[in-house]
Amino acid sequence: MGSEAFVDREDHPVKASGADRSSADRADQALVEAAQEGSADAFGVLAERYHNNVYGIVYRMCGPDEAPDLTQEIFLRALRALRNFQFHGDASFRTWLYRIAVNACINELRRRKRRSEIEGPSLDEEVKTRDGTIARIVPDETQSPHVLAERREICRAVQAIVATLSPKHRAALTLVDLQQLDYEEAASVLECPLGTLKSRLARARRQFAEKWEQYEDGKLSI
Amino acid sequence: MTEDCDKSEDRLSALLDGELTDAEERACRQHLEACEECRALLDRLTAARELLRTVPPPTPPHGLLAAIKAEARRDERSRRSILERLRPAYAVGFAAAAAVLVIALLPHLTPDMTTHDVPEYAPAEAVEALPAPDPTPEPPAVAEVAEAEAESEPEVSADGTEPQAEPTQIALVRPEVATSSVARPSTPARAAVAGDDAAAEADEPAPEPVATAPEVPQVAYAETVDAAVTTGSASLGPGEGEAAMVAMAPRIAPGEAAIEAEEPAEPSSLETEVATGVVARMVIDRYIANNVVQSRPTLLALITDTPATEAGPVLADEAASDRFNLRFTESMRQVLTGTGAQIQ
Repeated sequence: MGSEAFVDREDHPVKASGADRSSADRADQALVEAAQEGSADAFGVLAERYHNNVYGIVYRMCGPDEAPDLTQEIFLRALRALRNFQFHGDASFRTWLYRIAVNACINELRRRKRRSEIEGPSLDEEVKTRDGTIARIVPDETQSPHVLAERREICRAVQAIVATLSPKHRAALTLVDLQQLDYEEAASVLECPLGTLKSRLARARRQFAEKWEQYEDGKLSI
Repeated sequence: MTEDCDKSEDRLSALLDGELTDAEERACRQHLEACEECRALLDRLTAARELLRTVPPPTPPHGLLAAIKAEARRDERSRRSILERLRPAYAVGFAAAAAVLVIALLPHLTPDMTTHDVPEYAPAEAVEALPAPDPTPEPPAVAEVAEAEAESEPEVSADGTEPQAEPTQIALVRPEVATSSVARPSTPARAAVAGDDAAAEADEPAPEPVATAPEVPQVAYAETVDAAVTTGSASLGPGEGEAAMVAMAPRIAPGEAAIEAEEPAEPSSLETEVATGVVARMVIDRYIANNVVQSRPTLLALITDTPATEAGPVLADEAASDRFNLRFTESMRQVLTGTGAQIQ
């Protein structure tokens, strides 16, 4: 099957309404089925559709350094899971893919935490202060130019403060505010009740707001 | 800060996203009008939300998508390669599993499921030569199957002559039959299918497999045993039909079966009649002994219709047979009328 059979003609908005999402889900279905039968081209189109958002989730949750590799790993994991028919169509492909991404990110954050407990904090990891945990920003000469170009001041501050949140709060904030998923889909991605998602999101927003104020007041150096 | 304020954080956050029901929104806004702290919190949450949503999404590095696609193609190639490598293994595995299944089921296969040419019960000599019942297949029988499978491959000879079907039937004979001396195919029969001479011998009439050779006794035994079994409790009990055949075995030309193995020959009509008559006589005697009828003439009257023909009384129809729970056979009629072969 040639790649021309899977031309992505849809430009999915990040914020999709229920109807849009349903339409997108139907459009994904054929691609998903073809990918399940082994079509790398079909999976390539799915990757085109969603790699930006997956990269955004990984970037917000785990930071820029490992985002490319982790994004690639997430797609490979999804591909293999698809071929093993672990996706049964009970949820939309997008929700399923985001769930893989969020879980991969949470696992990555746990690995970092364990590594930190064993090896001690690295120069660019979070630092606990009297005002809470903040990200330690140090010049990283290993970062690629495209990452450095993105680091404008406000983005860097937002990213640093988001990184101080717990993984679950970070995930809720990333999905709803940064990826702009609605509550229902975000709860589905996180596999938690709607009420739990509301609580996590509200707490994450309040914590972010408090730290942002500290940052603006100069009480928190980033 | 009131008790409502503790609950309002979630509601204020959801209010910003339009995720409250109408009733919840009304209650939340009423609370906001009365609570300054919650209004301040709403402002902070609103600012945080707007800030987060104005942050441009990060742009994936150039080449990430291409790398994902390349990885998917590599994975697909690898998967296909593995499947292609496994395909011959699958075939071998399937063949092996099928062979094991056939061998495992062999002892449980009924003769009807294996071949119609092999008598259900072997002639007397074969019955005497039977080993003690053993639920496990005898190794020679397994070897027979393996050999037959090996032999079945060159079914079509070099010149394309049709293969002989009989050896396959021999291979599927129950183990106890296959291990008996009379059940083995004769040497010429094996050579006809196994060797290079198969094509040369293909034009010759293939020797009848030994196990299928004594066709006439097969009919006679089948009939007599069948008669004995179908008579139910009034005649022979379970297994008595076989016992009867064993008992009468010496009277059927001892050693004939082994000779027939080499040169199949039809038993004489006398032998057939005798074999049939012995069992029929036993059935009749048992029937009278059980006081179902008092005498042979009574039984003869029972199983025959009147008026009799010139050849004597004729058998009653099947309906009468069923009514008396006794299968009326021609051999019984002959015994009762004294017209069949007598063993005295």
